[in-house]
Amino acid sequence: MQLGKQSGILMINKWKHLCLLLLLLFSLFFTTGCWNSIEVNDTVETEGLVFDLEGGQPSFSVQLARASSPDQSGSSQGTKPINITQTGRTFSEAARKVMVSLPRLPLWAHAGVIIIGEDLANQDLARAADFIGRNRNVRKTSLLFITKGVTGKECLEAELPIEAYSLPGLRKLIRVQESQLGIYSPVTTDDFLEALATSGIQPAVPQVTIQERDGKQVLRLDGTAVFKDRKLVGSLDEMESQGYRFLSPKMVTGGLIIIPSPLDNSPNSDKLVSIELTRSQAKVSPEIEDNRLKYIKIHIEAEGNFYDQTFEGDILDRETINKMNLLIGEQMKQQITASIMKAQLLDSDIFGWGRSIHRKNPELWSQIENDWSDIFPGVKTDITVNFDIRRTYLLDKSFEFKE
Amino acid sequence: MRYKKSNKQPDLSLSIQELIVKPISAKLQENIDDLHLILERCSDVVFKEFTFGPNHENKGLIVFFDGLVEKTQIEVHLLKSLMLELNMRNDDSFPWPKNDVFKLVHESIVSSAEVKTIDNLQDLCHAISSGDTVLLIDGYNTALVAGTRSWQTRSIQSPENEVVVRGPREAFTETLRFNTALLRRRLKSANFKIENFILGRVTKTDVVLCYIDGIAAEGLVTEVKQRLGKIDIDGVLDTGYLEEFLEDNHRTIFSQMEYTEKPDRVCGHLLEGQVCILVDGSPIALIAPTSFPRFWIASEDYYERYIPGSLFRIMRFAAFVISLLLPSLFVAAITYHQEMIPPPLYLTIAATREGVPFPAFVEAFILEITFEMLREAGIRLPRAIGPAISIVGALIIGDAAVKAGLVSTPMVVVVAFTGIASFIIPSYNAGIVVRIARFGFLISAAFLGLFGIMIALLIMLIHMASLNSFGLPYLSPIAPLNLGEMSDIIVRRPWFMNTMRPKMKGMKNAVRQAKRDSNDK
Repeated sequence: MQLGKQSGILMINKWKHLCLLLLLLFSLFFTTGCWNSIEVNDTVETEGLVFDLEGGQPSFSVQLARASSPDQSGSSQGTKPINITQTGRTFSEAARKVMVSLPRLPLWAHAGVIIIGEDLANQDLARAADFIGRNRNVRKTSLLFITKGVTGKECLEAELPIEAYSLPGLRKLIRVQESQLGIYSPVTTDDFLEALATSGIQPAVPQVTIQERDGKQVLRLDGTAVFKDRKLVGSLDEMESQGYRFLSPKMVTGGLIIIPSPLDNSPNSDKLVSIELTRSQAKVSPEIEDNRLKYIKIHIEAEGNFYDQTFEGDILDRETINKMNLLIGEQMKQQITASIMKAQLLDSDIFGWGRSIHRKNPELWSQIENDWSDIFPGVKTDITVNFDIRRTYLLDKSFEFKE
Repeated sequence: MRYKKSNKQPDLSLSIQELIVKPISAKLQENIDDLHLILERCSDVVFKEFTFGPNHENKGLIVFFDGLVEKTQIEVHLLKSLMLELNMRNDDSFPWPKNDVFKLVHESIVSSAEVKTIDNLQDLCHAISSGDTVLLIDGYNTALVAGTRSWQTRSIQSPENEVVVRGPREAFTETLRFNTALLRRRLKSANFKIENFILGRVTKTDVVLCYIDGIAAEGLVTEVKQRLGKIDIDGVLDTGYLEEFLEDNHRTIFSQMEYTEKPDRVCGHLLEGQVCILVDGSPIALIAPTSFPRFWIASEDYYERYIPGSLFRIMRFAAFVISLLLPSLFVAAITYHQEMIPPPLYLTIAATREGVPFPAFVEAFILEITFEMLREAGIRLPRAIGPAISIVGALIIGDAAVKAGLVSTPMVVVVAFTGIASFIIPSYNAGIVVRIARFGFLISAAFLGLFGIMIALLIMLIHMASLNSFGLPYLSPIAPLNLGEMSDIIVRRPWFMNTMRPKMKGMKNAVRQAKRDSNDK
């Protein structure tokens, strides 16, 4: 009897404890307070971020997308971007100051494009780099652009055909451009920050500018910005940019190469052949002898398809194709050399040769690291290109005209 | 205010309790009086007194419940034999033994196929309530029971809940004998055992335990028998009553036994060494032991070719994950992890949520509850009103709520998709688990985002790993891992490779088919 009563009390205690425990666990939910939860209705999507200098002061702009309900998506105001600019003593302050005129939290993480104004790039990237690198809301996969001849804010106001929002449109633009034309490669924030933080490599970033077309300000890609020591020092033109792209350590796919006719390669001839690049892989290795850098060996394995010819005459026989392969190699070599010369002129190691030396021979690199900017302009290169035409699309012979 | 327990008052039932254990008396009149007392106010009982034998000197009584017996059988095998045919045998080769009429009646007059003797009133009552007919003869303290069971039953129909495209279409019915016959027809082996139990003080329900001797582990069979023997309840109306008595863990939403209405599925499980429990009056067979991964196996997987069978199984697993996690993942993503959503999708979601007054969690919760209500209403409603519910559900809840701006379209899509995915899970009891757990996940997602979902998932997995069903770990063969068996859980192993039975503790005969000769192909 006594025992039964006791165990009964124990039972009650057990249940009581269990209930208390559950209550405590339940109250945990409220103490955590979901402090970082945010409703969709309290947010606004950010399409792009712009870092500028305005009168020497950091100026931060965002492009915001207007979320319109499906009923009103037809109306014109539903798809126009909203651009907000604020200045502050630091970029953080400028970015937070955006909130004085914005009732919703902008989700920077959605910004696929970051534009850095030329003024800021000319002065010192340190003013923005830490902010971009440290802020967890700035996505490291977003693509980076530098303005050319205009401010970032002006780029925000410019348009892109078809696209409702210009900045995410820029993201699509550079991707399509790369696969079809193959001049500029997209650079992510991550790549850029890595190049800034690594010795032996300098960042190179595609540039955007504004063109007037049909009375509208339209964005276009124009050149590649070359940096040295956190400062914009110059720009590669289209040919050099393409050459720079060929030197990328990554596999390069897509692009167009124009060569003179293999039958008549007099300069300034209008007899041309277009070749579509399908892939190209560069192998860059510094040749070191007696603990001295002799030259940089660049070997490129590439292949592509015959795209068209602008003259009459059959060139698709084995011999001429071999000749064309050599001509394409020459053309690529020319562009590569042009980009190397420009980089050496600007004394900016955008190819990362210093890093290659570091990887191959760390001892040598530690000796020459401090003098690298003196050595780099004089580095010799040995470029070989091995190109292979693979396919000729729908016609296996050149077009035959009826006489 | 508590009421004092009233003292038990002696009532009539007590005397009936005493009466019922009495042995059958040799005096017929005494038995008749007792029976009238026991069966008073039972309007369906039939007493038929009659006389038989030469000069009608023997008195007899037939007792049965109207509606449970086939009257023609009583007439032909009992009454006609005793009252008519007996009198027509007047030759000397058939002497009338005055001293042992009962033996003669038992052995050579009653022509029923199923005849046995009983000697107490309790057995008598059980016999007549089971549909048998009892014959009492004056002067003997034993009674004859003739098997005359026959009542209106539902015929064997195709399964209603486990519809198949390819495979047998028979389903169990409410009559136990039909059900055991359906099994026996598929397992023509003397090793297929059907052990009988009678459970329920009032209902006296027949419960059978089926297993294949030599395949099912002996320990398992004795354990089930032992657990069945411990049950002391007034009535067993469905196998569901037994499930709660037999399962190992009560404080869990996970059911540790499978059930089915398809005899072919039961046979499949018996052949894998499991046991099955059938209850008279229930068309549902209980199967034990089982583990959670087996719940997304459909019997049809084994009838379809193994490639589509495997793909269906993978799809079912995906549907399980979707129906468990999709609403909570969606809520977590749009309230905590907006950066996870691709910008164009986010813009669409934001556009549709513009003007929705509820937080995402509340919206999801309302829709989920509505969906569960619609689902439950659809099951219980009379057939005629069924379509009305779907119209109300689809039009008013779906369309009007979105148009009125109360909920957003993506959330409706998520909830609808979740609903469809939850219907893919083949077993209803695993589906219930998902339906309940989904709300837990939703709440943890609303408070802690993906982190909360991870915590809830871990809690669920730890809990599942702690369960077992008759000694079989509830997550086997995933934990403890058995790669050989996994090949018949995640995908469906082709039959020609299915040489071993799933491993179970104490199993003696694990080999399923002889190793095929490589020249066979």
